[in-house]
Amino acid sequence: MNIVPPSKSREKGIEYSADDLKLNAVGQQVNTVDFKDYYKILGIEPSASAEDIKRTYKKLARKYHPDVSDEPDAQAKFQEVSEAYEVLKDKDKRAEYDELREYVNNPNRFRNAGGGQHFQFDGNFSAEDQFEDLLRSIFGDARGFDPRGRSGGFAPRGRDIHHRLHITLEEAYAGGSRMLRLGTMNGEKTINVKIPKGIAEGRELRLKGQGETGRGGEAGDLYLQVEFEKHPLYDVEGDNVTLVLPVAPWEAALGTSVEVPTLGGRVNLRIPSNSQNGSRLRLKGRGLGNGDQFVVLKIVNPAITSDKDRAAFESLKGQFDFDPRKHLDRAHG
Amino acid sequence: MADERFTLTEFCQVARVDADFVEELVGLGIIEPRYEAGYAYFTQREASRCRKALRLQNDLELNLHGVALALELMEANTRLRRRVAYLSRVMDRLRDS
Repeated sequence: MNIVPPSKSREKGIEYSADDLKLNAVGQQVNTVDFKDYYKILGIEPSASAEDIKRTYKKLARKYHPDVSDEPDAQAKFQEVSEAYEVLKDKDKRAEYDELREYVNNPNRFRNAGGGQHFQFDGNFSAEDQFEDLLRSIFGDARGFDPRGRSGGFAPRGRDIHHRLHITLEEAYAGGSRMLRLGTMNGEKTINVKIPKGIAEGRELRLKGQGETGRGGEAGDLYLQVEFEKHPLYDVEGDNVTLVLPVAPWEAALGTSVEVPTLGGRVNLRIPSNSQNGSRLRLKGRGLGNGDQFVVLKIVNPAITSDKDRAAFESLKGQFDFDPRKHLDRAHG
Repeated sequence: MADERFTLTEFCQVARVDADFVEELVGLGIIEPRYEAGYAYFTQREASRCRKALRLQNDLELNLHGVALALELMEANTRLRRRVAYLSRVMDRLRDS
């Protein structure tokens, strides 16, 4: 089966991805379809009752439904499971399928008998062909089968494509564009995606008409879910950016002015005296879009490497009547 | 960054649903039109919710009350996960030398 395996790689600003997860296996533009063991897919015995099949399907549908599932191949598994159920839930279809499956597992048994109840197993038709026929008879035109295509009668607009787009914070801050290569039912295509300036995480970009081509109707849309790559300095929540800033104990205690990086360049930050570890300072408007940049102070001690170093600290200790655990001693004896 | 605005007709096209379904969702507060200068419009956020609602209804056979609840929980879940991921990363930075 001509499925492009899922892969992701970055190469000179071009992001590769395979949209295969969104394609129904039967909808591939191929001549033969690999036989699938629906019982294995559902994790049940071939002798399972109709009740068992229904109950198992419903459980798996909940588990793999892409909107609610955490599983890695949710979309593909969901379509697999749905396809299995469509075939097995009908008594007649199931009987046909069972015979096919029996042949695939024990070809000799049928060869001797000259055929089965439903199928002729001679040299002319392979099991794969007959499997494809069976699926076609259930699902109609195999291409574009979508178990969810029950939203009412509309013009056969092409399907939408959903994809994640990973961008850097710098790209989000300044805006920009990115070349995206997609594998679709009709082959690969390359699109230039404009990244709006100041876009926040979790936003979805809609590229009208860049989805699957429709059969006679319009093309669907391409949806890109924006996600940020991990950044060496910043963490993002919404449109606010956070920077953890190491400072020396005396800088926090005495206060000072330091230069800190922001996405828009370095700026001066006033650290008030008597700042503590974890203190959060705000640089208004220095986040994404209208967001801010928060600077969280991280007080770091210098290492003691000599007697003089030690003496300096001992002197500090002597100078301050300071018990940071006062509240602990009293309350919890 | 301005969000694209859809009239009801456009919205039905984009979200791939019919007006009756939209009306049902609006009736239950699952999506809400916005208003400006007297005219109503929808945005992509509503379209996304609408599509999810349809899928949940069809695939998991939830009634719309179930769908409404599921959507709210799913969105809360996503917000919480993002928060946890963010806090976790900041904590890591505070801890690492």
